[in-house]
Amino acid sequence: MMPSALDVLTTILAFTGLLAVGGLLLQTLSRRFQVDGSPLVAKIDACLPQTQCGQCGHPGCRPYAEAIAAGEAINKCPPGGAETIAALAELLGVEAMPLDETHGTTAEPMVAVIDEDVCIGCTKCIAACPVDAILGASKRMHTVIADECTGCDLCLAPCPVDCITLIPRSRPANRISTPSVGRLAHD
Amino acid sequence: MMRILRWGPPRTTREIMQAVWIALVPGTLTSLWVFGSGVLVNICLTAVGALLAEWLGQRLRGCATKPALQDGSTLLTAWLLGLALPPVAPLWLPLVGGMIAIGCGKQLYGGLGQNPLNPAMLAYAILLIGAPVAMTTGWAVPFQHAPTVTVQAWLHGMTADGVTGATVLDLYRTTFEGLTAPEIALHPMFEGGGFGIAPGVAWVALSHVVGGIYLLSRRVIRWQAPVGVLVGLLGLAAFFGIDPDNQVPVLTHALAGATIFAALFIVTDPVSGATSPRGQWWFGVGVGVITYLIRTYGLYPDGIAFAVLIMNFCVPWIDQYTRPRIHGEVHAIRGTGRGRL
Amino acid sequence: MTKYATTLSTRRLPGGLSAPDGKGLTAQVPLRPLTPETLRIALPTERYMPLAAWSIGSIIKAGAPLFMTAQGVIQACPRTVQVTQLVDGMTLSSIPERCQILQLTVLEPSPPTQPCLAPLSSRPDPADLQKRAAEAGLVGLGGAGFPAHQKWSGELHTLVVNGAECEPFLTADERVMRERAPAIWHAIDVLMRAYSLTKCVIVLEDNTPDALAALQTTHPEALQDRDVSFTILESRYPSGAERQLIWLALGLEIPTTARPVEYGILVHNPGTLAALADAIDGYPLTDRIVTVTGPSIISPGVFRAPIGTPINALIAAAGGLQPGDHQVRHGGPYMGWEIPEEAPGMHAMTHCLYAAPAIARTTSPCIRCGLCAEACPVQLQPQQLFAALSHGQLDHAMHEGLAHCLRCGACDQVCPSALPLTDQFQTGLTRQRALSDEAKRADRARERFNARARRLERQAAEAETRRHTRRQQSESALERIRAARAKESI
Repeated sequence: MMPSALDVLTTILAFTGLLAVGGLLLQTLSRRFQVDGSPLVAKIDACLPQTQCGQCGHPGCRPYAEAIAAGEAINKCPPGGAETIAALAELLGVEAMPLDETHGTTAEPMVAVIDEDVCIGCTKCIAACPVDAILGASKRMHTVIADECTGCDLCLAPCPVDCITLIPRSRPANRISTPSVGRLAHD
Repeated sequence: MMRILRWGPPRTTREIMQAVWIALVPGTLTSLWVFGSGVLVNICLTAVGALLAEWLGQRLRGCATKPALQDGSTLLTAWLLGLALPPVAPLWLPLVGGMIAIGCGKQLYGGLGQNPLNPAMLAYAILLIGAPVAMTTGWAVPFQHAPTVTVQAWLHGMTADGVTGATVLDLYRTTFEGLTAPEIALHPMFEGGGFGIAPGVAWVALSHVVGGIYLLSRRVIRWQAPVGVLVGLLGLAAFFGIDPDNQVPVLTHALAGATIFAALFIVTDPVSGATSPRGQWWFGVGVGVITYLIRTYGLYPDGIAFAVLIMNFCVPWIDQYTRPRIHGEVHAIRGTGRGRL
Repeated sequence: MTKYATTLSTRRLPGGLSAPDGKGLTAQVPLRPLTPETLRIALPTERYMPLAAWSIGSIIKAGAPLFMTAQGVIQACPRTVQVTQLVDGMTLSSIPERCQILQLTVLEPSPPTQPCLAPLSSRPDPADLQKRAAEAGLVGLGGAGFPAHQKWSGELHTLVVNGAECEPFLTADERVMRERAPAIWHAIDVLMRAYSLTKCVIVLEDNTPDALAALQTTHPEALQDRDVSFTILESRYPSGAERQLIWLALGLEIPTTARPVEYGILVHNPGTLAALADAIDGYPLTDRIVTVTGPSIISPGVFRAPIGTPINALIAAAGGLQPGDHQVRHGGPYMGWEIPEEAPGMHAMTHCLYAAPAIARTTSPCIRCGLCAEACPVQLQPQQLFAALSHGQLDHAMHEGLAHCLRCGACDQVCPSALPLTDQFQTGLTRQRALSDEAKRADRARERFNARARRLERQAAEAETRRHTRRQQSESALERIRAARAKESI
């Protein structure tokens, strides 16, 4: 039996209506239950390690966050490494990818130290520091505020006397493993 | 042996398993007395299948086989499944069942402690779907056996009259359609009983209670899950089952089928069950309610295996909502002391 | 005989262990003073200020200040010593850190005989007391080592004396209460008056009747009219943990995120109180009572030893270790941690050294039996935390309450699968702390970066404005010149 034209029409209309209602519902729900209104760039920025080292090719973490929001690859941050990439991948709903090593490799967190006997007080490193973590004045010895230093190494190149070095930020050693308590005899 | 008989909470995983073994002994012996040697054959064959699957699984996963075979959990699963299967089943049934329980129910998920579903119930459910005839007609009629009769039943196929039949719950749903309660009570199954009690299966159930008390006293299981099952199942049965002509009576629900056995040995499985006492209570209630629904409206006479599996799926959710309050959680200031209260 | 109310606590710890006590090994052994030939004092890992000449060969008098920590606590030199050397090493804490160790040769075996600080009056005011606690090196001797003077702030109303030494084998606090009862009373009196505390509860376990008797027979006249009472707890591990103790003794549940002093409750270990009494008399903290015990110790004993006494010297004083393979733990069998042989000397928080045969535990998978949850004194579900952490889900573990874990080790003791639960939790919490530190650093760096960006922007804008003004000025000058020339030409 051939379906009548009316049947076909009813079916088409019914399905169109159904889809329209569903679509509207989805849109309303997605608006109503939108999670956290903070702009994407800030969320991306929150995933980045804030080293401000510029290894990604941008002058700081925030600019890189803006670039990611505009579609740049998420694997250009060596200090963040795999963890940052994983966090970004989850945030943006994209596939995690290995670190692009043309921008550098992940190393342990470092901190800059000025050899104060050699420093000539040129203030060039102070200008270079992205987080204002170097104290000093012209012709006076400079020093790094270790707690604020991100270990970005941007101060190394400008130093005319090479008196700045990076050393590993000291971290607590792992707890000595104590697997065997030597259970007390209960019986 | 002294270590096995020691009272108090178990100190090793093996001891936990052994405690459950011990608790299964009374019920198993009564089953042998009531249903005949088929029970023992079932347990042995499920054990063979299960140990084989465990060994193979551990080998394939590149894990040590010896500790896995020795921890007693595989044998326990096999034993539970062996008790759950019909006593006069074809020999391949328990063998395949043991393999499914361990192979699909446990090893596929990564061995001991990793399975989200109860392996014995998973195997039972798969067999029930895959081999419905063998699973429903292989039930020995209580006390109608001699060891030789059981063996004959295997030799001559499944239809040896007077030896095999349906379960009590099955009878109630099919054969007794349209009969009144006094008429039902005349059936040989209920001889010597009353109030819907079928003495044969009731003895088995009561023996399991002995084992359950042992487990409770050794703190291997908590009371919440078994009591939850009974409350869920019997509460509904009592509420709706006032008419024994048309409804299965409460005591039949309690003492027939796998109610007591499952409440004490299946629902209390720590791996696949809920973990906190409150969670175990709701887990048990869920199993009881779903069992009642399946027994009353479903296709299967005893739905406890499906009820357990369904509730197994709900475990992460139950655990999430039944976590006990932690001492010192914020807004924790309670009590009588002075201060900024 | 006594006027003090002695009540049994009716509250019961959720979980916990009714452990074998093992205290009999050392409870009746006489207290022995111990002075080693050398001292090995670990220097703080944070910033500190040396207060003595540490050059090799220099001599430091007993009781003289040695260094000041970042919290302002001054550590006194326990004996008259000569500085031998300064070496690199690891701290004695549960998470060892790199530190420097000061090695000293003891010249005189006796502790300071004359008051090193001016004795305070018997009614010192709070400021004096606070200052004295800091300069006498007073830290919590119960194990946490929190500077005592930092606790004495805010509106305090209750003093709880934590004499519940719940961990098996430990007898140091009990010994202090027996030996130093008058000093403890003196400190209680001073604290109650200085901070106008209305109530003092001395909490003991039911297995230390000697300590109770010692305190009751020495109660001073001065405290007769005060609300001082004893509360006896059923001996159960870990009822001596601070929050658990407050709950058991006062019925108050202190949130994990807060400190008891925020609720007006001051909790002190009896050893700390005895040391406070000494500090009031002018003697800084130089010695403490240590229990050296455990199945592997040949003759377990209780010692009064100076801070910095090498671990080996303590063990040797207790007859040494039995032959075989043993592990030495700092602290008790449950809360303690294994320490390496090259550990520095004991510090103020070393209440016990425990040695037991090293047993390799063979673990099996978790079957979620829930025995650990029954043993957990804060009602965590260790099996769930362990599963989350083994799958690397630190966030989930934190959501399940990992931060509330006391690391008391009760779950380890009952686990039938012999899993290293507490170790896993400690690792998880350490990782969590590192992550949150990292996040804080990142936040600060972001702020500083933004501040710098704003500053550079502002400077650029200012420069631009200046340039603009100058250009305008020069243009108007030119204008004037042009106008003048135009006039001339006319």
